[in-house]
Amino acid sequence: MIAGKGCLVLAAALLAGCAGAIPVRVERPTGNAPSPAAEAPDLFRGVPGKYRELADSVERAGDLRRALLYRKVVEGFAPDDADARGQVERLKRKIRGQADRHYLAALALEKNGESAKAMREFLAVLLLDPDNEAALRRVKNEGAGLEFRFWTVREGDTLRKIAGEVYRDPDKEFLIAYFNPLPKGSLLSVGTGLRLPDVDTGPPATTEKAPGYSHPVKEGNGHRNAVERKEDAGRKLREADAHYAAGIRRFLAEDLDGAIREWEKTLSLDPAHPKARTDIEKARRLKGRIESPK
Amino acid sequence: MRARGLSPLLLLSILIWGCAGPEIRPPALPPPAPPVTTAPPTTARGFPDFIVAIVRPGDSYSSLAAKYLGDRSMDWFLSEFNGNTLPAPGQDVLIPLASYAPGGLWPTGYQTVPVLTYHKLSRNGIPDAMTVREADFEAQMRFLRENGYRVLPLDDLFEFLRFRRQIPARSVVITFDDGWRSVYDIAWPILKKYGYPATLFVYTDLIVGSRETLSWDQVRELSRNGFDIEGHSKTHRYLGRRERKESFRDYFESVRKEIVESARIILKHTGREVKYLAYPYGDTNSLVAAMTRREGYRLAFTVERESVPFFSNDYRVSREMIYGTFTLKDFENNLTTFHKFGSE
Repeated sequence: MIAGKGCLVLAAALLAGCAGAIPVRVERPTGNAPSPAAEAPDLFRGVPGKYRELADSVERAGDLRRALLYRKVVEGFAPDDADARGQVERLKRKIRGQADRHYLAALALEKNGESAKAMREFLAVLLLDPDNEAALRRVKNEGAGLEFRFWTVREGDTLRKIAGEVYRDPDKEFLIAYFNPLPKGSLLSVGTGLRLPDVDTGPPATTEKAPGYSHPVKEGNGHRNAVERKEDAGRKLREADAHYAAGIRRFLAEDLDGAIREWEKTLSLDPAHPKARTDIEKARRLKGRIESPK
Repeated sequence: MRARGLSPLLLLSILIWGCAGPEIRPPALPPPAPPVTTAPPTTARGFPDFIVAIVRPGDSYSSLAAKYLGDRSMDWFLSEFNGNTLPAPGQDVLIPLASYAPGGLWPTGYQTVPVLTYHKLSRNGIPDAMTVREADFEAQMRFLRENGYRVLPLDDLFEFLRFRRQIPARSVVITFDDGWRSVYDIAWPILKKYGYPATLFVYTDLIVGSRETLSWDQVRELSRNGFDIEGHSKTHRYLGRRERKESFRDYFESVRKEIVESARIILKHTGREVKYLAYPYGDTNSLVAAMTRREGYRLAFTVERESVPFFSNDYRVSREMIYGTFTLKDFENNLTTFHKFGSE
């Protein structure tokens, strides 16, 4: 953990103020201020050449983020070198382009049901662009996890009615209340999103019984399992995308109710879908204006 | 111990380099030396994303990590980037100021973290699956040390699973289930010797203080000394299975009590919030996982035998049981820390 002394060093740096240009001198000489005429030996003379070569080498090998760091070193030590600056910008564009291509490939593979290959492409996106939240969400299955489905409240819905429809058991309304804290006694308002847990209380699929102890242990199978476990979530996401596209088609055909229905199905499969929720709201507003013109 | 891609301190560091304070004053400076006529050579230059430092005689990755990252134990962060051998004095070394492989993701594959699970230990006797002999446990801990593994607390694993922090390439987590007395008597002294943190998942009904089981005084003592005390239910029932005569509502309430009440009891006795759950028998289902999330647990663990990549489901994180019947080779086989692309 970075702490203690590091904090002091950093705090000292802050106190030293923000002035001047980089590069900075990290160490303070222990003696008096040096004579302006005296020149220190430049220990960094070979740095730009070394890191230019390294950058070329790792870029050829496909490690673009490391190559970018090396190119930034070159640029840092040669701030007036337009070529060094250009190389950094070129590589940034290359990284963005490759990340976009991998993302599109991942979506296409997912759509074709090739979850394992899609997973590999999403990982390639994150390797190039670790801040890509969409790719991270896909590999972590956030929003499309196996635990929940999503329900958008419709006219006339009650928790009991929804439980009856989803679980075939109105008495499971308490589950919906538990997972969706709602003000007591309040009516459900149309358009509210509810998270509904999957109810699966069966035994685990496979177990290994350790001798001498009733402690079943599932045996993994490397990370194939981790990928395979995502198959179901991948299927949900593909179906969600298909319903979203169908909603767009209906919307363009001016079938607003149909579009809303399709997008609600999208949300039930992928609660974190980036567009379905706002599109439903737009369609509802549009529908309201059409039905009650002033 | 861990690199924080976007940690406040690294960001602060980046900010500092970015705004380019001309000179960093170490907190403790030696008294002024006699006047000099030539400037001493600059031995490090800082930029927003990195520092380039010139290696001096006596430097090591640890000393460089202490000096530039503020944490000696971040030596791995530098050695994994620059290679195991520190360049010779006078050569430069590149010090990244942010994670260069968050989530342990590399062009060739991705990191996985073995989360090891133990139950009981014994001084001697014939080992069984759930009971590891003291000598074997000691040999396993020594194996970790001698082979460059770093033992992390669960909080670090949690950050790794968020894909925001980088952890050492050979990271391992050590956990114990249930609350047996031998964890206190046998495992703790050995862990202390190696300086390893560990997590104890207790099922609270077991903590009665007997020849076999821990007391709350002992649990508190462990908690104050490097053990993270976390939840393992109240009664150790199968959470993923509804009993034949149990109504759905009763099952739901029972599971809820197991995961809520046990956390409340642990908090009461240790003064620390419970953040992680180990499902008894590793047994769970979609509803239980969803309830665990709903009740505020950050992660929940099964006992599926595989080490953990960053993209694991947070409520089905695998752990690997270490049996008392394992040879050291069996133990080693449970220490997979990298998955190479194309090896599926």
